[in-house]
Amino acid sequence: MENADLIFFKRKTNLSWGNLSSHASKLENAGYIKIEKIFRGKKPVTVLKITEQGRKAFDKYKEIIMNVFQV
Amino acid sequence: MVETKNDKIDLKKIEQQTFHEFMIDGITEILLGILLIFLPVLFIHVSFISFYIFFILFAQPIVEFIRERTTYPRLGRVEFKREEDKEGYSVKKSLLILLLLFLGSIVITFSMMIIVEGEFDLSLIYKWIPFLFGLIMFGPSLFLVGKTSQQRYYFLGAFSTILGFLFSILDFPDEMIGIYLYLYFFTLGVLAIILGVIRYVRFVRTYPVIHMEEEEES
Repeated sequence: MENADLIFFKRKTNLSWGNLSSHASKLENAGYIKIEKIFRGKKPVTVLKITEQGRKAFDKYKEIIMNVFQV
Repeated sequence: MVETKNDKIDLKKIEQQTFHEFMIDGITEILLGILLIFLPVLFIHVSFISFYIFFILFAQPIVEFIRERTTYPRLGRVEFKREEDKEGYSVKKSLLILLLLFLGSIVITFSMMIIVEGEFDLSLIYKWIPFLFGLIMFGPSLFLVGKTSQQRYYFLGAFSTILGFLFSILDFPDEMIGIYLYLYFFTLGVLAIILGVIRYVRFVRTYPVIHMEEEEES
């Protein structure tokens, strides 16, 4: 996926808007995602996009967790 | 190896699931149904191709217009990576696959014609167009299965082929060949529209509109 908007993430995570915004900010500060405000027609939309660093961090996280369960 | 929940957290699988989610509004089926119902007009006169050009030009903006108002407020909006930007993508490879699918469909159709009719007669090709079209529909089937990993999309190709075969083995008087061809595409089109409408209604009932925070505060 290239990017997804906040409605998509809210539906998937069931977080409140405040929590979602907070988590997104932390991920952005860590360099794992980019938060962009774009216009679709005249409507402003916030979209989140995973970075290459974010993908690598996610893969590493998966590897660590799998190792924990295998011990 | 212990199978963990994280085995299922796979970005590729998430993308496939998401793509599948965005098919549940039924709009694609309705669009396909309309295309199929009007496809036989090309057999009446080739100038009707202008209708198809018009349809192709305006179908996407119309679908987007509908999705902006019904689908995206419920599901959110995802931008998928363009095929051209993906690793391993090649225009030549895609065209080759399409060509192989088309040639394979023709070979199977002619083979079936020889088996059923007992002879190879090009004048009978009109009778076997439904079967040929059904086989070609495996192309979109394979595409959708690849994008969503949902095996159910094989049903599209299988159903079109079986229905096409049944139409092809029926005996119609030569003067009614146009009507029976139209009947095949009309049947497929109507079934697709009915399926699309059912899915749309279920979708709208299952997924409520999600209001943005700014709307909730106001």
